[in-house]
This record gives sequence, C-alpha cells and structure tokens, in this order.
Amino acid sequence: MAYRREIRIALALGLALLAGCAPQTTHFIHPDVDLSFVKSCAVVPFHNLSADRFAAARLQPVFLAELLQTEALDIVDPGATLAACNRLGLGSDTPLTPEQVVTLGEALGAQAIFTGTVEDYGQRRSGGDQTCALTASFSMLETETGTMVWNAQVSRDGSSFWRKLFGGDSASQHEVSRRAVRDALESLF
Amino acid sequence: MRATSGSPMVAHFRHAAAVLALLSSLLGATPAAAQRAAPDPTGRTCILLFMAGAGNGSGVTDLADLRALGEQELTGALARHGGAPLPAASSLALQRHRRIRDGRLLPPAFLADLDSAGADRLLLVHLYLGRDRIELAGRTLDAGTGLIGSAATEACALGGAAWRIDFAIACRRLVATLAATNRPRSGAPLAPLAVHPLGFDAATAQIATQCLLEAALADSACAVLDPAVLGGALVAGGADPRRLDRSGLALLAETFGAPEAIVLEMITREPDQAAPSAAEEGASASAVPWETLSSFSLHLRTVDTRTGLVAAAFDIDQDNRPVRGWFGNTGSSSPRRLLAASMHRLWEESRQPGKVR
Repeated sequence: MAYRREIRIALALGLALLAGCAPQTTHFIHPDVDLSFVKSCAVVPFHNLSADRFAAARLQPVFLAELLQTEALDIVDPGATLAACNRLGLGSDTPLTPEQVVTLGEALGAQAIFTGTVEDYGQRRSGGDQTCALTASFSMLETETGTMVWNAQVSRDGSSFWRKLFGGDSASQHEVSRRAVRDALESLF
Repeated sequence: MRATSGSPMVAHFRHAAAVLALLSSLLGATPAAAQRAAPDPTGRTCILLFMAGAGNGSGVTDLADLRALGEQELTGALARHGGAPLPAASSLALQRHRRIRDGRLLPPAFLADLDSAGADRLLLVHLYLGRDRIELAGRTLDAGTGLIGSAATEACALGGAAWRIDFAIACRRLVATLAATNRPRSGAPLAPLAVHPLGFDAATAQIATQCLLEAALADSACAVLDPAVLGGALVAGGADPRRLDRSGLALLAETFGAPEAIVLEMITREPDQAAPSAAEEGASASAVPWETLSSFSLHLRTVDTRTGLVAAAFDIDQDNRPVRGWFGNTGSSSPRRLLAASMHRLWEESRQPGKVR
C-alpha cells in the first residue's frame, strides 16, 4: 500500500515538472473564415519589443522556413514584401491598419499577410540555470477586408524535464525559436 | 698558336661551356606551366584588386605600395599561366570612368567598356589586411556572361621582414589555384546574390559571399553567376539587390536566364552588437571587424524568378565559442575557416531534396 502511494507521489511530481516545462500557446481562429481559400501569403518584417535588436530579424526567417515546411501556402519572397512596404510607406514599428493590409495584399498578389511580434528573446533564469527563451505572437490577416483570422501567442524556453533531472545545457536560441514557431503554426494548420 | 689543355684559352672555353650548361639547366628548370603557357589570343583579362579590410595595427603603412606589389605579382602570375593581362593603366582608367571602387557591384556599362577594350575576362581579387596576416580572395569570371570560372582564397603571415616575399608567393599561388580549378560548367545558372549582413561589417559580408561562391563551385557542376555582376545589373535596372522585387527577379530571369535567385542573410547572435542605425542597411563602420567574428546564423532561401515565390528555405546556427579539447586546451577557428565550414554545410543541406532544412 505504501509502495503504491510512493509511486503516485512520484508520478504527480513528474507530471508537475513536465507541466512546468511545457510550452504555453494560446491562439484564436476567426470562426467565419474559410482558410482553405487562402493559397498565397506574404510575411512582413516582425516587430521587436525585446532588448535584442536583431531578435525580429532572426525570428522572421525561422518563421518563413517553418511556414514553408507546412506546404500549405505559397509565400511571396520577403525581399519583394519589404520593397512593397517601403513603396507604400509602411513601417515595421506600427501595426498595419485593415486598409494597409488590403493595399499590401493587392500589391503583392497575396491573399494573406503574416505579422509577428517578438516580446521576449534571450537568456532567462529558470531555477538556478540560465536558459534561452522566447515569447512571441503571430497573426494572419486576410487581404480582402484586412481582418485578423488567426493569432497565436507562444512562450517557450530551452529547459526540459530531462535537462532539469540530469542537468545539461539549455537548447539553443535557434532551436527554441524553431520549436516555438512550430507550436504556433500547429494551431493554424 | 695551339691551345693546350693547360693554356688560359682552354680554361676560358671550359668556363664558357660551364656557364652555357648552367644556363641551359636553369632554362630547363622553369615551371612547366610557364613553358606550356602561350598568350591566349581570344582576349585579355582585366585585373581588379581591391583593399577590402585594412586593419589597424598591421604595421603596413604604405597601402599603395602593397596594392602595387599585389597588382604586379598578379599580372606576372597571370601571364605565366597563359593569360594576357589588360595593361594596368587601361584597367584603372575604366574603373575611374565607371567609379568601380570596391568590386561589390560591376555595372553592365563597365563590362561593356571592358569588351570594347578587348578584355573578355576578369580577375577580381579582394585583399584583406589584418593585424598579423593578409588574406586574398579571388575569382575569375567571364565579362560577357557574368559566369564565374573559379574562386579561391590564399593567405600569408604578416610577421617578419620577409612578408613581401610571402605576399608575392600568395598572389602567385592564388592565380595558380584559380587556373587549375577553372573548368567548364553547364546547366541553368545559379544566381547567388551578395550576402546581406546584419551586425557585421562590409568586409565580413564579402568574405561570406566568397565562401558561398566557393561552396557552390565546389559542390556542383552548375554554372554560377557572379553576385557583383548580378548586383550591378539590378542597380542599373532600378532594383535593389537587398529588396528584390518582381521586376528585379524578372531581370535576373530575362538577362541571365537564371531560374532561381539565391538570397542569403547573415545575422549576428550578439544581442548587444553595435548595429547600423538602419538595420536593413547592413554594413557599417561600427559593426564587427572582419578579423573577429561573433556567433551567427545563416538564412538561405531560393526564390523562383518567374513567380516571385520562395521555393525553399534553410538556416543554420553557428557558435563561435572557443572549443575546449583534451587536457584543457582550447582552440578557436579563424573567421574565414568558420564561415567556409558553415557555408559548405548550408550549401550541402540546400542541395538535398525537400523545402526546408
């Protein structure tokens, strides 16, 4: 009897640890939008709210690569997107208005625009260890009306149950970013 | 008067015979390549030498002298390998006329001028002057098509009194390597654009571009277009090579017959890295000097020039922390070696089937 209780306590502790390491993702999908009509998209430069000045520049190609891996959408080259943003006078520091989304969509021939905001990027103290962490949010805006059809906020760090148990370095910032983006996109596709 | 074996006349003949024998053996000892090489009748080669990264504290004060020595050695080596160099004065006049200052952009008008001057090939060399070494990165290209023949890098130490000899040897080795690795290539040409740096200086970006070209030439038999020629054509056509829009992609497709453009970004991983005021402008004097390289990530994407869509994307993350080996020994790679290894790895991954790696 006492043996069973110990097992239950150990399992509960393990689950609590696993829950502590789990990524946190919250998302929203517009109920009235049929995403199957969207075939092509563009990814605009991400906003950066973190202390690392290149965080957004680093996260955007990771997002692009992961989005491409889903094979769900054709993606307009970010160079062309940036050129169109410059031509239309759209800065990366201010959110796009619905009118701007429509105009940008027409200029690029894209049915959806992805935006992203990096909220936290870099080293974070987790317990007694330093670990790489990322908090970011991503949105998808359809270009007919400029409405937001998907939004996800994800927070991830480089720690894991096994790392906490046996020690070891944090996952790299690149790996953390990749996993975070993958978690976010899994809520869409 | 009879000449006897002990007479002064016989001794004189013997000396003359010995000198003739020595001369003939010296002539026989000239390099085989030099003997084989006959001036190429088809056209001349224009040598462009640029100082890309002049480091402080190198001890070399007379940069003009270094440049002149480099040009002289490259010209001599090219002639020994069968090339017919365009006279330096003509080359300089053409550069001044078209304001070719760093070799990063070669506009079509400059290439047309070269053609008029009888030069159909280019030997483009960038010289990086560091604190303790000189690096030479060179490539040969066809001025008419913009296709690269070969690309190679050489280095020499800057310490000691004999550094000029080492530098001259490095110049000759560079030309010899370029001549040896030049081979015909076929197929649809690859169109790699110059590496776009974020948080690195212009010289580092140029080294990265050179490493990209060397990786591309080593890996496949495909024809590779020169980024400087592509950049020059894009700028002349009103497009920005860093923000390639549909018109720029169409220009690559129509002018060069390139089905895909290869775009590569190199981003520092240092969060506090000094950066240009406008990050997208890339290079700046306050960024990392080329001799020290922070950890970085490389992001490569191939873009379909006809549709303007991203065809594939790849990225790798590269640490540049000293590696601790056995017995506590630590070792670190030179920036060029690290960049070359990363670029080869990235290129090999990008050649694998699949959209993302």
